[in-house]
Amino acid sequence: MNLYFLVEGRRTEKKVYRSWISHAFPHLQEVQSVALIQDNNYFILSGNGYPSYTARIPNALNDIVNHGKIDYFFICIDSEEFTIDEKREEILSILRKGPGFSATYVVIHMCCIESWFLGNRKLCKSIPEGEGLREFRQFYNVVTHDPELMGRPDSYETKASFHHDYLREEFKERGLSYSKNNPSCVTEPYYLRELIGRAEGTNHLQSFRYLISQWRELGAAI
Amino acid sequence: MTISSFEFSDRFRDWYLNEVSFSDFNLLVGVSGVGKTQILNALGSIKSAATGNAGRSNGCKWRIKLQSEGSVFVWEAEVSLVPRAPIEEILAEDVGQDSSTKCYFLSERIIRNNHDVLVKRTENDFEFNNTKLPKLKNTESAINLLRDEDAINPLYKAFKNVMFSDVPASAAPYGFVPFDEKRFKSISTKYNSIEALRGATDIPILLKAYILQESFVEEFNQIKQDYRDIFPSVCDIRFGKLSDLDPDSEDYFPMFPSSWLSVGVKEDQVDKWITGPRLSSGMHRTLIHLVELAMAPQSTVIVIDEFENSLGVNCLPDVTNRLMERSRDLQFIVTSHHPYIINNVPTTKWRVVTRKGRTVTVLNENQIAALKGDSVQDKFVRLINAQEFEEGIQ
Repeated sequence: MNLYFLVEGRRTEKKVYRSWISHAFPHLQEVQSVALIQDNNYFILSGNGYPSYTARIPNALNDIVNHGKIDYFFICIDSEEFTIDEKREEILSILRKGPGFSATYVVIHMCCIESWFLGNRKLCKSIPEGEGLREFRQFYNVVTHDPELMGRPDSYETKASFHHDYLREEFKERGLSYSKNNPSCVTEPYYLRELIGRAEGTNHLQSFRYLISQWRELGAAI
Repeated sequence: MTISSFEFSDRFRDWYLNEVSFSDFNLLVGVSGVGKTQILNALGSIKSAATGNAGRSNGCKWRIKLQSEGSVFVWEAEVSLVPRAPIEEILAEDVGQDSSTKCYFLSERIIRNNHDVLVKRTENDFEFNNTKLPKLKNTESAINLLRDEDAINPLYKAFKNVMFSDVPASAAPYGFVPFDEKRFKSISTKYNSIEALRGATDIPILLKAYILQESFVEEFNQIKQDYRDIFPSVCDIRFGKLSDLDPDSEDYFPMFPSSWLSVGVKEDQVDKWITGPRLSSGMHRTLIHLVELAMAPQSTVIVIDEFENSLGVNCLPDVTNRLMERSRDLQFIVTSHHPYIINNVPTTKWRVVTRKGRTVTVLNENQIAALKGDSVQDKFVRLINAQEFEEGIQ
């Protein structure tokens, strides 16, 4: 089985997906160029954010069709200020222009990959001490409510920037640090297991659950 | 001349460069902080040592291979390490003298065409062409000391022809040259051909442009035409005394003396000359690059750091193309982060700079797995996805 991933960003997503793929599909080896894909390989291309990644999709499709041995194409992006349906429609309209490749999965992080990371309840202390985090929890409690559905305070321009800051505060509360360049423990198997547990034990993290269910259909060991 | 390769170590700054090979056009790419500019600085130190003294090369050791006038030369050298406060080091670089007296050559070897050992120097002995020489100034390089010798002169000239394109961000202060028509005339009489003027590596680029305008009208008009092709609104260019071009200049730029040589650009439907201090950085930089390219003697090595600085989308493609065209007879060593430049320079010309701790290694296209095989993705996208690029600093 050969997989091609086009992921939203350059820093976080590539690192996280690389490590999650290694947990889910330990038999797959990463290659650095699509042309190097042979058997049981995967390739990850960063889309360099929105809207840059929209230009990478047709090129990725062409590479996949030209290569001929790639089984599945995953496009993993943020919904940001859009709904899942709006973002999916935007991507599907690009995919319709072809070339056609039916085994394409559009995985949308609702609203960004940090929203998913906020789903680890073991990370989040029940009674935080940090003032900043207490304010965030007062605005929206990600322990009791679905992080994917969290909005933003008026002082934030985008939901994604708020979710990112919220996650950093949760990490800080634990004496850890999180940054786009160094997403630290979110790449670990236990972190992934916690997210899966939350997605399956509640009706939260629905967009994340979509990724896991698709991977399981492909035989993921998670 | 062409620099084929060089390796460099700097004990003072604890910085090391593994051997890097160069071709006619070399685009150094890599993440910020990886060491691209340091490589250019290392070349600057070598040039400074070759054409003068060891002042900029405290604790440095290098091996550089180059071609000049049909011969292949290898120059190996090591300079003593003198502990200095960093500020003194910076001053030594900027001023190029004083504290340099303390640094001296521990060893040197110059080999021509792989077998002729022209110079063999240690702390105690100095041999030239297998003949022992009397004690010579140990702060100066053998190339500088023996520059008038036929065997060494091509090497000296080669290093003189390494040109560091140094265009400041602001158009105001490049090449402060007091305007002195009489002196300029006397200088220009020394250069009775365009080749002679091109070969004058010590003349500031601004003065070269002025002499070109006054004495070599056809070549100057070609630069004007090239500039107008890039900026169609420009109808004329003139180098001259700032106060002649713009009598009011001191009112808005009192720091820029009106008695100095400056450039004026005239645009359609604008009566006044737009002079040096008022010229946009991009227009200024483009003009200087055009003059540099037109006036570089054959076999010049042109070194440009962050080539794209100040260049907008209206001039970047043209200036890039002109550089690429000139790489047939000039050698370029250029750094850039810009997607346009990276996409438009063939991958064979890329040099991907990586750093592990203090050691810098430069990789060629064929050493980067992400560039292997066909893909319709942009070359720039493939580069920034390459592991060697993403993890450029370890």
